[in-house]
Amino acid sequence: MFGGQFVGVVTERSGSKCWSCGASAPDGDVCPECGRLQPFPAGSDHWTVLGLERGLGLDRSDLQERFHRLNRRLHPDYFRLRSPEEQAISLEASAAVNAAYRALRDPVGRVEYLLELEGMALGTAGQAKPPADLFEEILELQEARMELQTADAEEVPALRARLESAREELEPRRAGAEAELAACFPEWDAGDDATRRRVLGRMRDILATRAYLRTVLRDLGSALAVDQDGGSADR
Amino acid sequence: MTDLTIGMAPTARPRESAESGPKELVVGIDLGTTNSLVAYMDRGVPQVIRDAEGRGLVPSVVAFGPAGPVVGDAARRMLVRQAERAVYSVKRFMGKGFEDVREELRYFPFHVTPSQEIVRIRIGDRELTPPEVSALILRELRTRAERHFGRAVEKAVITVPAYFNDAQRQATKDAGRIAGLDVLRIVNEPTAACLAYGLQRRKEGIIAVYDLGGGTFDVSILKVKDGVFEVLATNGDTHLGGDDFDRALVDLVVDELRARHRVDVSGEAETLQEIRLGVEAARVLLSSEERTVFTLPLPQHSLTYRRELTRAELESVIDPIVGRTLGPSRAAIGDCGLPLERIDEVVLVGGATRTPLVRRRVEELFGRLPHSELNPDEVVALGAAVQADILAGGTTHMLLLDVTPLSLGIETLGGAVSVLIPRNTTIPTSAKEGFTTSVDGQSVVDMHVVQGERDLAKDNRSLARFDLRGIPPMPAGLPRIEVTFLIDANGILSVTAKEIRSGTQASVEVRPTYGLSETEVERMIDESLEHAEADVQARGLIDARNEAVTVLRATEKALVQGADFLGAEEAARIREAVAALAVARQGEDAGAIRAATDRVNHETQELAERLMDSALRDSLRQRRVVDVPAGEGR
Repeated sequence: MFGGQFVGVVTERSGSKCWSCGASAPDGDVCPECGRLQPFPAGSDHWTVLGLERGLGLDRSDLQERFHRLNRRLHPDYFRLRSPEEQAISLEASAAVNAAYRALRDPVGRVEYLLELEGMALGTAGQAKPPADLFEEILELQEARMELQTADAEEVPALRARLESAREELEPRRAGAEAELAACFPEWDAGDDATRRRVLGRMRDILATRAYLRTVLRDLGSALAVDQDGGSADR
Repeated sequence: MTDLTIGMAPTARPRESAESGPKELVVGIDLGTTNSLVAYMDRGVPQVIRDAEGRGLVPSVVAFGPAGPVVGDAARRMLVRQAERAVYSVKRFMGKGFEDVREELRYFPFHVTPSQEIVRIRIGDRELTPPEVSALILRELRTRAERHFGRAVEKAVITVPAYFNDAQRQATKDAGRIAGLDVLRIVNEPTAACLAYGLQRRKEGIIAVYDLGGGTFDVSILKVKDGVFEVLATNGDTHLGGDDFDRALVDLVVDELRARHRVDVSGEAETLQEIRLGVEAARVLLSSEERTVFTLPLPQHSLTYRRELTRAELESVIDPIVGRTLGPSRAAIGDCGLPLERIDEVVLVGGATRTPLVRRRVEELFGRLPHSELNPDEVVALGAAVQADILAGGTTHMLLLDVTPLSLGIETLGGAVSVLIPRNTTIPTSAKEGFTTSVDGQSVVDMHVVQGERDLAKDNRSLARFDLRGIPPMPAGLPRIEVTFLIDANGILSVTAKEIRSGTQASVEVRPTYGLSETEVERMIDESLEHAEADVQARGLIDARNEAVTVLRATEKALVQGADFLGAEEAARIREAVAALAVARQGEDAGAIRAATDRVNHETQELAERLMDSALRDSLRQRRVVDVPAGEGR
């Protein structure tokens, strides 16, 4: 949702011609003829902005290096003394690079973005799916969590222990979902259209389970943390 | 601006250097809750600009005396004499509404007018908003810089707490404009500190900055690599700092006076200020000493309050406050996506980090000894100077990539928040969101933008309400309005909107919830110029009157001393001039007073010379007496 690309407000591009002098110029870089900064074409996706092919198997340190390198080239700090057109292009290009890096650096964000591009976005919390085998247990957990809020002093340790052990059990499940997701990447990257659609559907299901587990873990975490800090950390 | 004080070889490609021209003069300003300072980059080394006595810090206090506003130490002295005419810690009010600060108003001697909107501070018959008061501090810093450079200073980078929201940032920018400064960038304080620190130590890795100032707390975690300072996560509390330590101590003293001496000073503004400044001094002392004695003479109650305060006792009072920094610190560590062990260094910033308890708590939290080689009061201003130099085209080997501290969202049906830009997103950044109409032919869509981490709009900070106007009449649900939210490198939001079907640009009307409208800022810029003129005039009048009094006194004395040398006519002329000056002195016209003073000086010139000669003769006579050989004169 926040990965939307900028449509150049000041200048519309035509092909890879410099908007200023018309020479052939690379996107998101300075024109070799006149030295002016070129915007990314309207509708460029996150991979294009970072100079990558569309794919899910990405190296995080390579991404970061691209993110730094591109910002060193087009960050607005370096264009303050240039024309208003170039300042606007720099602001938009830098925002596009930042959005691209943010979305792609995290494997989950990467898949979410791909789903969005394919019109298969997960949407909001409503679509989070509980893992079938854990459904009963999670319901019980939610009850224990509620009880902790109103529990007497002598009941607290037992309830806490119960929630702690649930957290220890669920945390690996969530990590497992992320590993399962990453395991799909090579298949998607190498697959044909039909394979890609199938893999994408599977990844969507994994994400739905993960989203559910994450919510449960967050609730557990805040129930345990509030009790622990006794409100001192946050008045 | 064409002249160049700092010779910098153009590092950019030749084509660029031809366009960018010579380096501008841009200063870096740390506008603090307690102290402010201004710095600049001198041949690659950031330097604080100091006054003649070598002081870099300007207390962030503004007092409104008869000769107009005074800033700094002079204003601080007025706190214990005319407390209701002095404003301090105004940073706590920046971008806030009356309701936000109501609770803590009892700690302040000045009056705030109750209103639904922005805080308005009442001084006599004048009302000032926090940006106007901050502008007076900025003006003082600007004057200091101009004296240093011997030329106009018009551009600045100003730092703000990283956890400042959009309204607080905007208020700071407005303050700069009112002070006649073009604010090129709002930089986050911990990030600025890291920049100065990075320049100094040239070290790479993951750095956590713990910044506890007079009134605000920030924690930022940065990755420093190849000259890029990338903020990974930030968190904080814009209402937490050394001020809160002092408040707890003031409450302790006031309670003790009441309990042990049956004396209630809670209504005595000047006494409360005296206590505040006293406990602050004691607290600072206890950073290096184990114990100190706090003494408060209360002649109005025929009492002198004396109390020993130990470091242990201080720590028990402030520990809960220090504890409040731990939650945000843990949140930042959690958000940065790295385990605690990956943090290479912890840097302390802000005067309150000199407190040993704070250092202990930070050390416990991060599991390593924090660094504090750079002066924690100055490091933020030094970093601002570095960023100023980057923007001026000087430094090109460093780049700051900061984040937006708070999630930005819009209120949806039912009062929930739809997050558009999550917290800790690198800025500049943008987000697009689609809207449509709910009534046939609707031409205006109303939007509410909020900032914060809570799920319901009402629990977050209301930033602004927007009207999208100029939507072409269409059946309900048909228009596709695409709204683009852009957070620039200052962390400040702007909004543009477009109706996709018709291609019309919808206009966006911003109604800041706790800020100043554009018209108000412009009026304040005008007023501040007028006031500046009025203030200069008021001061001129007072100076002229003081000068007149001095001259009148000296003349009276001379008329007595010089009675023997005076001709009748000369004496009459002098008396006439003296009488004229006595009359002029009562008036409001500084020029007339100065003219009358000049006339007295002119008429008494000869007399003065004769008196001087006579005094000289006298002194020579005296010397002769002294010259008498030793022994006899004794």
